[in-house]
Amino acid sequence: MKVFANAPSWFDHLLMAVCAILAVYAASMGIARPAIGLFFVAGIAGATFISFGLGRLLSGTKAFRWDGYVYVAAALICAFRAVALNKLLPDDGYPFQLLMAGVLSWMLMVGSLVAWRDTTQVFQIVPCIALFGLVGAWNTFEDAKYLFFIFIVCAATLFARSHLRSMLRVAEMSEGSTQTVATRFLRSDEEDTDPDAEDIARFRSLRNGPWRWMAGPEWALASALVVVGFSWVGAPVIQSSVQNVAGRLRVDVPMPRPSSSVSATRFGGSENSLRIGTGPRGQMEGRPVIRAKLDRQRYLRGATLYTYGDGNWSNDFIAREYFNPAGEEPATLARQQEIASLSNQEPVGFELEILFGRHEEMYVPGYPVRVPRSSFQNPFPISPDGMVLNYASSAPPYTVDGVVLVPNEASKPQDAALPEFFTSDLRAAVTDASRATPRVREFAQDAIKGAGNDFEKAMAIKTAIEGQVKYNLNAEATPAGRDPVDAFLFESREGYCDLFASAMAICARSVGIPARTATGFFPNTNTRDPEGYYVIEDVDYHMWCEIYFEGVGWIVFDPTEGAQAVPGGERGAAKGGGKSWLDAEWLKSGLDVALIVTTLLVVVLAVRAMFTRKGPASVVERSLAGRTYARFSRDLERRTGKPRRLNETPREYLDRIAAELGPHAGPASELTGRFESALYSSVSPTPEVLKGLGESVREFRRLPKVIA
Amino acid sequence: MRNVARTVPSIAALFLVIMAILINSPALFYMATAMFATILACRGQAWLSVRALRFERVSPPSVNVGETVTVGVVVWSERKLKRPLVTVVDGLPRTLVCADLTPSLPVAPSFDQPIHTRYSFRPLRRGKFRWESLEVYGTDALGLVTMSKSYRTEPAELTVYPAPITVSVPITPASGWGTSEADSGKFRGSGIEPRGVREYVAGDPMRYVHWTSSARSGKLMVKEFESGSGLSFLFLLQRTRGTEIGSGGSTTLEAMCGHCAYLAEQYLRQGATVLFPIQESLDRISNSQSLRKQEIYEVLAEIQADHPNTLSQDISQVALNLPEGGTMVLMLAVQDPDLPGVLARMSGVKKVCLLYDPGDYRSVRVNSRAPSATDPAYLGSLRDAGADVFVMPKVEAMA
Repeated sequence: MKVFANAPSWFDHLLMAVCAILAVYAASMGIARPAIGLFFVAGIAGATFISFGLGRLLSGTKAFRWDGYVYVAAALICAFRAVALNKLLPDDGYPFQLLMAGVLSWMLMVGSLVAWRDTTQVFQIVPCIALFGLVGAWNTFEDAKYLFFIFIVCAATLFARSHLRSMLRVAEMSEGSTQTVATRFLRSDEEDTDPDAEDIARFRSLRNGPWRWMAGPEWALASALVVVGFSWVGAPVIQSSVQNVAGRLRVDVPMPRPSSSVSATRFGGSENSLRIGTGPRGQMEGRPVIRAKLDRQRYLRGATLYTYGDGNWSNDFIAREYFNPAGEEPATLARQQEIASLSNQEPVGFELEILFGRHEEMYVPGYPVRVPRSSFQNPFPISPDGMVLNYASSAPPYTVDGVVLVPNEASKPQDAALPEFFTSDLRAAVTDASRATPRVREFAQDAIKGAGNDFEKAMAIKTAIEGQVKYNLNAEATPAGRDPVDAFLFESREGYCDLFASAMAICARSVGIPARTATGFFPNTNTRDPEGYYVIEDVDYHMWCEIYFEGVGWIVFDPTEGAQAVPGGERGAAKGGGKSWLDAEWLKSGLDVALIVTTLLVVVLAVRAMFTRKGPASVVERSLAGRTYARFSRDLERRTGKPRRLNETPREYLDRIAAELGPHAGPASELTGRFESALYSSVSPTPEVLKGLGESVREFRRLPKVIA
Repeated sequence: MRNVARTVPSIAALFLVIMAILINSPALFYMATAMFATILACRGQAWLSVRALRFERVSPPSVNVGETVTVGVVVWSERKLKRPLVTVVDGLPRTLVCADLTPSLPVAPSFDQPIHTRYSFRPLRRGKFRWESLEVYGTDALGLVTMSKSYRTEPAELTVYPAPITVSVPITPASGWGTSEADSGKFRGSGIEPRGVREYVAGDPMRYVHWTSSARSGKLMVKEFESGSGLSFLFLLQRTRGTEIGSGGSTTLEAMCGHCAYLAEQYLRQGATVLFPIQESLDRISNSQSLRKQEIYEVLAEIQADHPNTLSQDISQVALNLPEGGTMVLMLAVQDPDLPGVLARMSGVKKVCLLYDPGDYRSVRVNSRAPSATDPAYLGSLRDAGADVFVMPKVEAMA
């Protein structure tokens, strides 16, 4: 890890790669698509490896100085072909609005391929900073700050080493020598000293002489660590001190829509589709997501799901508006009609402070009547089925308040019945009993025995499910080809909220009660702050069943309430990954750990490099010469049938076989002499010498074999 | 690209701070704080790196044009702190035209012992130069921020002597003591006593080639002559303001001085007396050849084309004091209308005019309209005034 070479060493390439990897990884995690990050991480690692090799190959040639031009050309191509390149990325790439992040990521990857010289390497820091800036503006990836701190340390070390090299070059120029280490290396056939050793000697003499009192890379590293420590402590203080003037600008970055199969650990975003029974959910962190002011503990509905089939819930009605009064503005009128039909409702105010994540639907504790957007000026639009839409998907923190209708205490739901203005499609969806297996139908029929009205039937089904199955966040995934509800109720008999909710809904439908499922948050009463606000965490993400009762509206039926939990499988104790291995928490954690370990390794190596001095290194050249000689000796062996003994020097071996070589003994002797010089002299062989040896060996092999 | 990379962190720090406040994003606050702290630390380090220093300069007293000068600078730190490397840029006078100026060796000033740095350059123009300031440039350990500070030091003085430029024209001296004997044909040779033979150098007249020695040694040898002790050469260079044509180290005056140095050295070696009647008092010249040579170089180093007098006025001033039988070598580039008349009136000295064509030295930047002394009519008038006239070839600028 010497810093006194003219070109960056492998350690500098490593530092550059770590910087770029941290930036692209942060960007991909900022949009919750680790697959993109993984793609670029692999790409940058490979490109850096190739770049290192190319740099060594082209060192001393004119092409070596073209890296800057190639870099600029590559960056322009990335910019102009951004859309096409984005399509090559997994997970549909970056959303169009965030295409700049894609451009920068591609730029980093392609740039890593051509960063042979110091100038290009340090320039790589520019897109890295830009990418981190974007991630910071999105404010969706909390760990970005840790990655940025690591980035700062690596970038500082890279800059410091590059600066030290530039100072070495100045020192060379000051000494009146315009020849650089690289050019000396190329000219070393004229030199009688090892340029590498000469370089080391020069560096040592500088370190022991005029640079003895220098604050060098070790100071840069120490300063970077101090900066990180200061930022760690200081940033929250600074942020709180400017709260009065902060937040004047809001960057509304659309969050990309996740894949159709959504992990229950994910909160925020729109859920038009949800697959159930997908196995253990990811580890949740207990991170506060919403701070809610509610009159009491209430289900905060975010998304509703109507259609069920093949273990998948979906909502196909948002776009085509399932309420269908002819001749009127459909959504508004339908909602008015729906609200007017709810006689047993009372208005309840609420206030939410969104702390983390992007949410395309807002969470409301009932039928939304009015949801102004407190932090902004415009009210949220409300979808036909009562979901509060947050299409702008603003970056937190911001607050929302409003009024919703909730069933009053006096309401006594009786029978489930759908209003007249529900479309036939919607009616068909919420009453679809065809998805219930015979066993499920039988289970439901058994459960409702003795129940009077639909409400009592629903309660009976809920009680039956609570007694039938246990809550376990670690429950295995439903085997392929099996219906998740059936398998849940009769085989695994354990599962998590989506299976409970689905079982409730399917059972209800199988006995003629219209039902749907909903996702959102259910606050924990134990997590209230001193002001009485519910602090809703990611672990409070939930799914439940809702049944429509005439005059009352949708009422929550949550069979997880009374179900026993498997020890270790309670809410918040989930372990393992989600459905997709790319979405898996273990992958995210693994990458985090890998990055931290790599960075620590880099730091350790940097510190070690500061306190160690490497001697003249000509091992590579010597081993290349050794390999070439091995080819030569194999050829001699083929010609003479006598292999070289281990204890023989090249000269001794040649002397032994000279007679068999006949007229080729002369060239072989000359070649052996050159090998002796390359392998054992005090001067390490130059690339030209090695090349010459290789060519001579090839020529020798073409000589005809002597027939005795 | 490096400059961009050096500038971007500063701009990014500022931008991130503004955006962090506007957006109120915690992540941006962390990033902005880190970036800003980094830049502040860098600026602080760079600022500290150039403070509390002392310098001492060690430069040679004199050097010839084109020779490499190495100036040593000794640096002390007045505070016991580790600093990033600093470089020194000496405050060389603007008139000191030089080439191959190297950066100073970067050093880390130490508290407990002087640290030596150095730089070198090649002066392209004669002169006496004096300077006392220097600028020290320091960066932070990352090389992101560069700061400078000016320091005053003990004045340094450097005299740049002209580099002798070979003159290939055969200048026949006036007949002094011994020369007349040569002219009479009593002795062999050209009339000046032969001193020996030496290897041929460019510019030697072919008639002085010693063929016997050349055949014996296999190298071209020429005869070298000892002039008679009565031989004297008087050099008068055109020093009128505005008559120096050219720029940098490639001017007519520089060429004149280079030629003058060569001729003077040659004549001194031959035992002749070399005089600069305008620049020095004729009765205060040294007898020692080496001392005289030093005096001549000092004179040549100081000649500047900044005088109001014309060459003819200079000649008129010193005409009465000129030694009899001497050879007066006049060097001029721009026409002096009175000169032919003054020369015509002069007697007792041999007059040789070396003329320089301003057209050879004019550059695009220096477009002088001064009339050339090599104009045929003017040249003819000089010949008519009894002068031997030679048009000197262009002297190429020193690389």
